[in-house]
Amino acid sequence: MSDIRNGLKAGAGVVPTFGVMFFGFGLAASVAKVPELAALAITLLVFAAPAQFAMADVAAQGGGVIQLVFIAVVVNLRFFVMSLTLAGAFDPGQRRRHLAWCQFVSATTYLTTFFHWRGGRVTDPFGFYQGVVLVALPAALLGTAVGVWFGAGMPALMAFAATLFLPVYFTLLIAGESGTRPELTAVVLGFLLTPPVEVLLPGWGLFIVSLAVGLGLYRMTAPEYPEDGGDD
Amino acid sequence: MTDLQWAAAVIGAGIGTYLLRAAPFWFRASREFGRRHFRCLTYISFAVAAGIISRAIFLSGGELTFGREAWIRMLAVAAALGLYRLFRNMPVALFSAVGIAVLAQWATQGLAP
Repeated sequence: MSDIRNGLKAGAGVVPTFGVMFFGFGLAASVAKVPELAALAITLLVFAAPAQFAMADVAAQGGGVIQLVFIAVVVNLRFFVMSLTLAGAFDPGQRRRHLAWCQFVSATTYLTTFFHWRGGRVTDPFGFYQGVVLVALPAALLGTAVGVWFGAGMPALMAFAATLFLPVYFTLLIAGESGTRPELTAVVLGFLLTPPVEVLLPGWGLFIVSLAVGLGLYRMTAPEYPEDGGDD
Repeated sequence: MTDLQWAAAVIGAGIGTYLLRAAPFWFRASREFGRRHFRCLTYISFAVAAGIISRAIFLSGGELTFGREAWIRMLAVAAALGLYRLFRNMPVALFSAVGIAVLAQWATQGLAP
């Protein structure tokens, strides 16, 4: 129970990030003429701002059902790796509950849980994750609703501020870690390589770079965690 | 698109995304994989976080940008790091850094983006 509470507290830092990200989606959906209820349903059922932006973009260009489903799934491929990480951290005895809650695995809920758990500040990572989700989900829905209904009149300076919460929040998440040398290398490589690869292969940069960096460093460095199975 | 088509698109996207998220929780082997290769998944997590940061700073409309706004975003990130070292308090660092960047944006609004 205390870890759910810790998750709720940590989730407070997520609220501005989620609120503004999904506000942006609400705005994009409104411009793309996505029906209001559909925009809210997308936030609830897809719960991934990048994929939702891509869906709004496809809808604006006149895409149909197949294209919308395809773009959402392709852009969300990274969730497989995120869930893989959390599945290793969560207590294996609660699979049904995990299956009910895994709908809300996103970069923010996953990284917040992962870094707190890895730092030894959390004994029940699933409870912590639930706490983060309980704060993040309402923020996402509220952000979408505000974006859809009131977004068009937002001042430019506020719109700019909205784009700052995401990078600053993730910077602080990393800053809270006492990273090893390979972990810092992963940060530097991820930072430098993701944008150019994203330009070359839109929607794939983050997925390809993080996977390549992770696997490359894994092959090149010695095991440092007791849980680690080594080089197999 | 009709309402029915929108419903199909939303449900289809939801199911597709859910299956990606649920697959590792469904199969015991993937849990074991997560435990055995924790080191690899840790590196991936750090690279994901760093990639999200640089993407938000240097990508705009699908293109690389190194203009004034990218530098102000870098300023926000640097200020957050400095403030976090100083106060060890995430909300303080988060909101102060965003505030500093908004001030910088306001002060340089007349310049090229």
